[in-house]
Amino acid sequence: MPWSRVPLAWLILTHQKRRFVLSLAGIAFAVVLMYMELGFLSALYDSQVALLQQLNADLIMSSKAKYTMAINEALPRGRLYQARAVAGVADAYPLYVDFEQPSWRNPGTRGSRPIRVLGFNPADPVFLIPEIQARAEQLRQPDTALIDRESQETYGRREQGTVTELSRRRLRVVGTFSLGTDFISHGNVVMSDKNFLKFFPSSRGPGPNLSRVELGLLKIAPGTHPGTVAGVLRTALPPDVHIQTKQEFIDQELKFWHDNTPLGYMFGLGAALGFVVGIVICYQILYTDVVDHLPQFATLKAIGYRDRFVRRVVLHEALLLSFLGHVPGLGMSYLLYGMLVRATGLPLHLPPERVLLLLGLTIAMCTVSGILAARRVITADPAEVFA
Amino acid sequence: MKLLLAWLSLAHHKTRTLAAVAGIAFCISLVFLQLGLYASVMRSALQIHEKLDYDLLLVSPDYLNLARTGWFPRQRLQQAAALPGVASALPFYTGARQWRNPETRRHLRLLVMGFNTRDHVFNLPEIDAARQELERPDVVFIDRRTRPEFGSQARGTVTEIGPRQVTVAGQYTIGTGFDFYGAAIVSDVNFSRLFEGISLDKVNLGLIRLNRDADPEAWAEALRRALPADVRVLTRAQLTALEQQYWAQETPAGMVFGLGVVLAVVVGVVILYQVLTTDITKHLPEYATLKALGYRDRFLRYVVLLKVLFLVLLAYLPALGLALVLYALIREAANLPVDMNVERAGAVLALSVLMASGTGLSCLRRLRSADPADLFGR
Repeated sequence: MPWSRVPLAWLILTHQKRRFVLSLAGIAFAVVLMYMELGFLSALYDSQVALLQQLNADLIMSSKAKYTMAINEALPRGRLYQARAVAGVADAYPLYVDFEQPSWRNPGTRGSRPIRVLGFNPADPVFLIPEIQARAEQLRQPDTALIDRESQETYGRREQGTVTELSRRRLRVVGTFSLGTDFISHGNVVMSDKNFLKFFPSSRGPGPNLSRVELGLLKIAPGTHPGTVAGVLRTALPPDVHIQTKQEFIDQELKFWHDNTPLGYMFGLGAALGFVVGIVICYQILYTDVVDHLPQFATLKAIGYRDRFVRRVVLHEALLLSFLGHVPGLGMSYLLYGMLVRATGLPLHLPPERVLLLLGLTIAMCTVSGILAARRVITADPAEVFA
Repeated sequence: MKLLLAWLSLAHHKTRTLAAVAGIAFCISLVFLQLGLYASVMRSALQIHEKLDYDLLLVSPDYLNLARTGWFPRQRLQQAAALPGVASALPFYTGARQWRNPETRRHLRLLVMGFNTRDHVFNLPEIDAARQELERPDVVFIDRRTRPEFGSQARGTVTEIGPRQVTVAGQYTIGTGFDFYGAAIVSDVNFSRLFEGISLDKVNLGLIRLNRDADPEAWAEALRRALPADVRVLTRAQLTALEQQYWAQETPAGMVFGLGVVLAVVVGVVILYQVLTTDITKHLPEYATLKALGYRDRFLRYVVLLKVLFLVLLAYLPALGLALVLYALIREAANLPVDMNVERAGAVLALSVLMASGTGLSCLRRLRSADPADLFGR
């Protein structure tokens, strides 16, 4: 009967309180390590597509040369008009993006920092962020903008009414919104397209300023399918633009960050090491427990209990350790995530999938150790143990 | 005698000792890994500065890092050169441009550095020898550590940087830093061409060389008094501190890796404590026996400390080995300058020994207050 064995595993584990607590601490810290490394890893990926997730688009039009949001490649504005004319397209909104040029002056310290600026026509519902939509009218005024509350501390005071400089032009903050930073841009500013072109007039390439549309956001007509409309657009438009569904565009961005940066590799390595550390610690705990109680296990074997029974007790111990060690680890990680979010503005979440994954890994970690530790008991000759 | 006792005690339970050693070794490797990654971010920031020949640096007050320097008027260099302690004050230009991969036609961000080819600015024999070559119009030298995604970088490659067509005339080796995956050196005239005719009057960095035996700190102060507020004067130490502070506290990468170091150390300490405590408590009956036999507490303390030291040393060497392997892996795969140095190896060893000794002694406190008879009845 499985229930009758759980108390045995529990009793063995908790026999020495101090050692039990230490064992839990060891497992908990290995768990925290894995949570943090995996948290960093997904913060990296989540942060880079946070803006894309908040765009109101069924399809996204970009220059063929734009293979990542980390490189500025504009498309000719005329393509948007052409797109609107295609059957199935309800509307097309331009989005201007610049993260190289703009420089935000901290009103308190007077230090300047680079910041990402997004420009759009306030009449277009470009963002899925209600706070931006609510203030769209106010953005029509000259020299006004909204700033992301999650922008790093170094940008200084940012509440409504703050007056400061953006690239050495006077600017008034008329409101804030929430988006989040990423590994390239440490802050976000949103302004009207007219203001955008006034603040950042120098063109990086040939052609008039208005052509520097970074992304075209397309909405499809009700009842149509994004894939179908995308296909029609691809045949209707010249090959210098790329048409993708919003999810395809996001996946392309994620793939870029996955393939081209060392950060993912390093966080993954840290998590892997954490897992190995966890296995070794768990093994050490279980092995010691087994050896300590070898006489008792040997007695059980002498009475007639099968090897299977003994192995199961050890595995139950392993399971108990993994659950009881995981909970404080999860709690500590939750607190650490909160601290990091406040400090960096990076999007650190604790999604249920990760908890399940790590719980699974913790259980796996302890089970492997348990199986290895159990072997020690099974090979024990009852008579020898008493000698 | 104590040594033998300590060793035998460890050797008696081979598997248990091995597990303890393995646990400690992996924790030490983890600390090495996180320290190496954090240090590489810091080092990347300073790689280029290390190859520039200057005693003092003039920068704009807006200086953030090598890619975002702000600028100041060239006149400040002439004003600086007027001071008696200053041997030379040379202009240096930096900026970011788009490099076009000649094969895939994709754009990638490139760090471009420009200098007057008559001046000795870089401590790089390859650049020094090639100064005449760099004077040719639209010619660049590429850093060999530029990532392969940039495409062909061999001599003779023709491609575009920004709006201009350029030819690669040679290569040098420094490292591209954490912000950029590619870097190039050009003459100041070519720099201006690449940046749409920007005036060379807008200097990004001023490289100040002092006369031999001149005290950098003293002359830095003198320069600060002599020059107006639109330039900052930095010694090498101050520049290092500035860059490190920026990377550690303002970039997400720096903050996250910094936290990684803290985590690794905390996890390492907790687990080291747990492993050693378990091990020592195992042998409390033996220690109690020794006490009952008449051995002094001091003797037992020595034995425990020796045992703990053995464990840490046994764990340290494989941990160091694993760390070196991991470093090599990261250097290859991630192109980051992760290197072991004597200070770090020593510091980690010292920390491990310290923590282990602390653990051992705290365990022993329980022993000292215990009645030998009690220790057997467990």
